Amino acid sequence: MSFLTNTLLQISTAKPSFSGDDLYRILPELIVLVMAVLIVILDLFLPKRSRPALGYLAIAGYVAALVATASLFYYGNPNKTSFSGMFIRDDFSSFFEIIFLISGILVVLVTPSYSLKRGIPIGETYAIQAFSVLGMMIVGASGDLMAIFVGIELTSICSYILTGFARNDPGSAEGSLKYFLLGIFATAILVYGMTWTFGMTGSTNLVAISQSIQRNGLATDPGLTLGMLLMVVGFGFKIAAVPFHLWTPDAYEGAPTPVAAFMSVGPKAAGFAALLRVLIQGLPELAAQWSVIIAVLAVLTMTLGNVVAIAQTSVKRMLAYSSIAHTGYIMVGLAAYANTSSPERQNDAISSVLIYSLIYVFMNMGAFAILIYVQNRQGGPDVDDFDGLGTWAPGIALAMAFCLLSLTGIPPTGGFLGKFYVFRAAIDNGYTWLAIVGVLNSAVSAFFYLRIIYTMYFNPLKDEARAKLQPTKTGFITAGVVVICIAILLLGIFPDPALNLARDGANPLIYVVRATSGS
Amino acid sequence: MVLEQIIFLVLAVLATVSALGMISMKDPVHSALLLVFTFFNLAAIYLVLGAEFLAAIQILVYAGAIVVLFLFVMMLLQVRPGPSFYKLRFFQSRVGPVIALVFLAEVLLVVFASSFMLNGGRITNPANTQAAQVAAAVRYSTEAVVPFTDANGNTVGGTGLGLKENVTSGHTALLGKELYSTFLFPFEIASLILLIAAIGAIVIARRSLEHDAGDERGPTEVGRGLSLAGPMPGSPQAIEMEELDKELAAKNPKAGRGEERRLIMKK
Repeated sequence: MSFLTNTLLQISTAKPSFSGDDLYRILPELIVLVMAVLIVILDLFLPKRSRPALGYLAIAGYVAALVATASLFYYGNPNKTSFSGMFIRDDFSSFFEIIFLISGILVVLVTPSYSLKRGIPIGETYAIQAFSVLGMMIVGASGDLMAIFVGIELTSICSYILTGFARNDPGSAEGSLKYFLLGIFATAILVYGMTWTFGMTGSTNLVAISQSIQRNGLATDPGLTLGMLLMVVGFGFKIAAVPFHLWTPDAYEGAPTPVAAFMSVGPKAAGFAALLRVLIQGLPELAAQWSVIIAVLAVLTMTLGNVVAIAQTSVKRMLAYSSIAHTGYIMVGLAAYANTSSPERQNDAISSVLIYSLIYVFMNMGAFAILIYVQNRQGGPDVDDFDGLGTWAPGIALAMAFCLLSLTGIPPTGGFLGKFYVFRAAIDNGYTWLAIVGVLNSAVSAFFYLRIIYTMYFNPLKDEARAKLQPTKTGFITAGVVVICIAILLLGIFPDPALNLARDGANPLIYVVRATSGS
Repeated sequence: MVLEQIIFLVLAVLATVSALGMISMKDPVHSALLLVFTFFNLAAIYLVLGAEFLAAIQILVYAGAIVVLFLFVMMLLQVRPGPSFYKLRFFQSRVGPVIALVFLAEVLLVVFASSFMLNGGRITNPANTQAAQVAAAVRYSTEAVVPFTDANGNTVGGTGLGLKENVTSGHTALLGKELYSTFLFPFEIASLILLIAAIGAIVIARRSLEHDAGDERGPTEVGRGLSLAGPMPGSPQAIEMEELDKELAAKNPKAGRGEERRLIMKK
């Protein structure tokens, strides 16, 4: 009897696992979840002709979530944890949510004309993209290794599936299988790293991990170093850092082009969000160690990505290597964080990572959108297919030139500012050599980006190719490209609002680090 | 205590030997059976550690469901014994083991060098109990992200469902409580992962794409290619299906071939 009363007492005194406040804090996630499930259900009942209309529902869902995130951001994020420390609603998570939602909206705009033409199921594509965005949002807002792990897995599994969606294309199945096998191997390494970290520190909560490292003097413990190394390998795979990039070219080339566009911006940014959370929030004491590793990986990633991109004849494969190179640039900002103890400098470094991720979403998505347009008209993703684009589609060619200039980092565009902030953070924090390597790499990258611009404007369209041009629906893509170009231009000439957002977004991490180090 | 250690050693040796056997067997069915044996040994080790729930799950999920799935796949695909380990490519057979040994040495080095050993095990280390309390404080506070900037090192925050109080109520009860309270959020996300996996499997394994073929044009000219759904080109099933197609076409050239074929295959 006493056992029973004890049990009842325990149940009644147990704290509830969540409250209404918690639900309010995950409002943007809930909106995306409801939208995704609605798409799955409606897709079953709608006749096939009206299924593309689900795109409007997807966009509406993303916009609603964006409004929710923005208003939480605007009225001051509570900066509090929910669900036993699993979920953190702060400016950092809001900033990344904005990145993910924007990439979700853009990918919905570029998907239909490609997928409908090739018989790729459109309703499921939208639904899985939405689940993927949800996974990324969870990664960005997680305060615990467990939440990071399930979020990363949700996103990755969506990517494996989406890569294999073009079932008529053997390359799609090949890319999907390679990506899946390498991906689960990387996940295993990631989890192994997390177990070591948990074993050494006694917790999976990021803040508790950093506390435990301090109290127990674990900063130089080899077990923790091993855990950190394994986690960097796992996340390095997700962001496609060299030497964990081997899946990238094949997966991007095999995947339907809109999916490649999505994978190159969304999951990559999610990987960076996870890296920032784990390394800066969880393992700040090990900064001296991981900073060197990240710097070396950044050099390898930038150099290999840019050098191999030169040799590509397919624009899709070239963009895959270019996305590897951009991973390297972003890692420069992360490496720069660790070399300083001044909060302003640390903010410079983290906010440069955030702003670069945001700008990169627009410029890379823009390049891929126009690649989709050319693929629809010409049938192929090769450099030759861009012959004379300036004469047969002048507006599209201009937009492509603009996106490519931004990817190169030429001044009036957003890409220049992104690189500027990243390299400035590196120089300020004593990584001048890293910034020099980065600038040299940008010069190398100009070669292959400008080659496409040359092809578009100076190579004539051959007559037999002109005869084979296919009609395509352009409404959504044009809308997407216009939005992207305006955004790149605004970020280039008027970056202050976005930069202030990024500075706010970087603050929570620094606040946590300072508070845990007891000052 | 000594008995416990002897049991553990026997189980550990058996598990390691059968795991090695699993990766070196030529016949995949033997590999799968050795894998089951490894899982049983692991389950027994969990029992020795007092984790009876994990042991049951280990047998039900891994030894039961997953290995049965392996065996089914082998049966359906008629997997033949592969080449011997040493006939594999140079890199895999020579460089692979070296890398594996280096990694093993690394892990052993870390195990012996890190504070696991020095403090007689982290879990019983008083400093670590403190860490667990801090963790609980972080978990159960809904206040600011960092609630315990208190310099004395005293834990701040409620006791909540901390690990300490529940040790008496048994491992399974503790696990269930943690799963539905502390780990509720990742638990729910895991259900989304399952949903996504199911949707993806259905879409990829669905037999035809015709239902979704575009509003603009029919299926593309790329051709069937190596689809994940159809039988492997050149396999007995594929040849059988082609013959069936030819037969049907000869009989009734107008009828939709796919539909009839499906009907006949059902019979």
